[in-house]
Amino acid sequence: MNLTTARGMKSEIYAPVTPPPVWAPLTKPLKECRVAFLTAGGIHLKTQKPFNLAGDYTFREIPSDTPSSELMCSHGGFDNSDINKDVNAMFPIDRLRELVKEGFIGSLSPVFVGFMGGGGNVDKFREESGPAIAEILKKEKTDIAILTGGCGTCHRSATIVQRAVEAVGIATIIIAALPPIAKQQGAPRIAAAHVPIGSNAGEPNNKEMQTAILKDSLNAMTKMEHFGEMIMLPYEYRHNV
Amino acid sequence: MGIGPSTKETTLHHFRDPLVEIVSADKEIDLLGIIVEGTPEINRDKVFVAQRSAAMVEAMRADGAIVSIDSWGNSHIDFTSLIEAIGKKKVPTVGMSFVGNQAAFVVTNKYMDTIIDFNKTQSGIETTVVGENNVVEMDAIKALAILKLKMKKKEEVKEHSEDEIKLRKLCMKTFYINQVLFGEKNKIDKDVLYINKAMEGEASKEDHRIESLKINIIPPANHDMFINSILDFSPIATKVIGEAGEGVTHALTGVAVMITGVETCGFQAANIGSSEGILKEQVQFGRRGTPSEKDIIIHVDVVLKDGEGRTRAGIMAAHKACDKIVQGIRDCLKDMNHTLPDEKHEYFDIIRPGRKKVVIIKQVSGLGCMYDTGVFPYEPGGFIGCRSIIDLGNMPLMLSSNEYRDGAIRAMS
Repeated sequence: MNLTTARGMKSEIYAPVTPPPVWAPLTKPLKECRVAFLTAGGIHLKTQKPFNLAGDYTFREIPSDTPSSELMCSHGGFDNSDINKDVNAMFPIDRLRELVKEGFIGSLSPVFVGFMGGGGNVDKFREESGPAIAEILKKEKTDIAILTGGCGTCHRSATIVQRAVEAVGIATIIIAALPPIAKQQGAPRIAAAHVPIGSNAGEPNNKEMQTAILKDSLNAMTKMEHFGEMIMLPYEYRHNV
Repeated sequence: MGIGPSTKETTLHHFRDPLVEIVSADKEIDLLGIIVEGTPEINRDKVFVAQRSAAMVEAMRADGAIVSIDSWGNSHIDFTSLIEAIGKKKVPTVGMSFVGNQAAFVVTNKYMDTIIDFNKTQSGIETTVVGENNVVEMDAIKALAILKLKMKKKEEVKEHSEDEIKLRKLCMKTFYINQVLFGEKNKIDKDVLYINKAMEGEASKEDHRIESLKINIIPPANHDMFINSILDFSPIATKVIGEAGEGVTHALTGVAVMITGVETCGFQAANIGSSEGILKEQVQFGRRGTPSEKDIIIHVDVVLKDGEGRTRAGIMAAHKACDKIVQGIRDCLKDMNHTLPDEKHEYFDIIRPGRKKVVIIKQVSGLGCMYDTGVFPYEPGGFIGCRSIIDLGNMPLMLSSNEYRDGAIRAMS
């Protein structure tokens, strides 16, 4: 009887792979920074082509002045109900605009990016989508990129893109619901609250929590000095099913 | 969600599960049972359920465990956390998961040395063919064969003559408090505890259900006073090294915390019968669950808004606010010189091979409001961080005796 399904497959061997460090220092005060937001949580404009839920390495450019009501989620890897209630739970576009108005950050990069990281093709994200997204942000003179991921493999895809962005000199942080994955996949900076996957950026319609998670994450960036630093944020939310 | 069509085990799969069939039929194996554990959506919960399963595995005195999962991606945190938690208890494991190419582990640890990948496709990706990437008999046979080898290897190094096997040690160091005073900040100076009075204001803002809150220091000779209905007596203890049930815990003696609760309108926070009245009449001092007559009581009196003394959230708010105050004391207790405790006690989780096996089952409150129980708070006997047994569906949990005596239970009844 043949016990081998495919020759050369090495998945039964334990091999912890944390990629080499990548680091871009944050050199400006937050109030002078231009900030972009990227999500692997499958967010896109309602008018854009939805993602292929079985795996998709393409991405969608989202103008940062898009009303949150014009956004939607195509992702099969986690419970979408929070995002459907309030897209800011994954993609806090309204909160970021408020932070600009408040003077907490300088401005928003004109282009934000959504992709669907679930089950993502690691090579395609590393070699194509990641560098392409990084190029867009660099062209827009972005200083800081904040990311979120939804499911498990989504956190991996998000971290790959995060690393590509950091590699072109933009300081990044991932707001992770599954911080061990971000850590092992080599995220330069990690912030995490005790929230379900799908609400990384805070409870839906809880403006206070969403703002606090963003502010704490941004403030943490000003203090983090080493690759792989992680901060646990003191916010808790769980679904009342 | 999170389970793709080809890896998902159908009801029919569970109904005639090849893993259960192979392991239960093997005459060399005494199958203790099957633990069913879910995969939560919050990272901290993932680690929590893994640790609880591992505690069961240990309590069952299992020689080995097979961990099988029918999802991947985020669920691999559950999978790897469980293998790690069991591995830390020195029980050999074999893991079974779909891995292939697409589901390459997003997290790993050093305990994952034997994983059966039940991928069945050349490409190694999740497909939409139901049942394609499922455990089949051969996977189960492989898993059991590997586990037998690992258990045999462990057997060889084990000393058979051992009468008692010590699993873990908990060292409880106690510091005696002779006097409690209000001060400008929380401080422990020899046997005098100072409490920052300003904590009152901070703690009362903890929850909108709280109208006001007061801290009283009740000296031993002053029990002839009126108190509102008692919600709980709790110890002041803090984790210094390790997790619940192991390492070092510091605790104060000579002092205990009492929470009382009432609503603004005067309604006493209680269910069947309330314990408000004269302190000396309402408390049987000197029992395991009450202070001794010589103890100083730190009394946190919470006034809840009308109606909130009759809600689950209101009662929990009172516990939370009180715990916030106690945390200020714990932070000082953590810094106490660990070489100079007044008393030192060592406790062990022990296996006594060949003796009669006995289990204790404690049935605790799980109805809601004042019939609630918290488990595994961040600090021994604390509230913050605990999980309500109601939220856990009142399902049974297995604790080691050391975890239990290290304050894993918070009574809210």
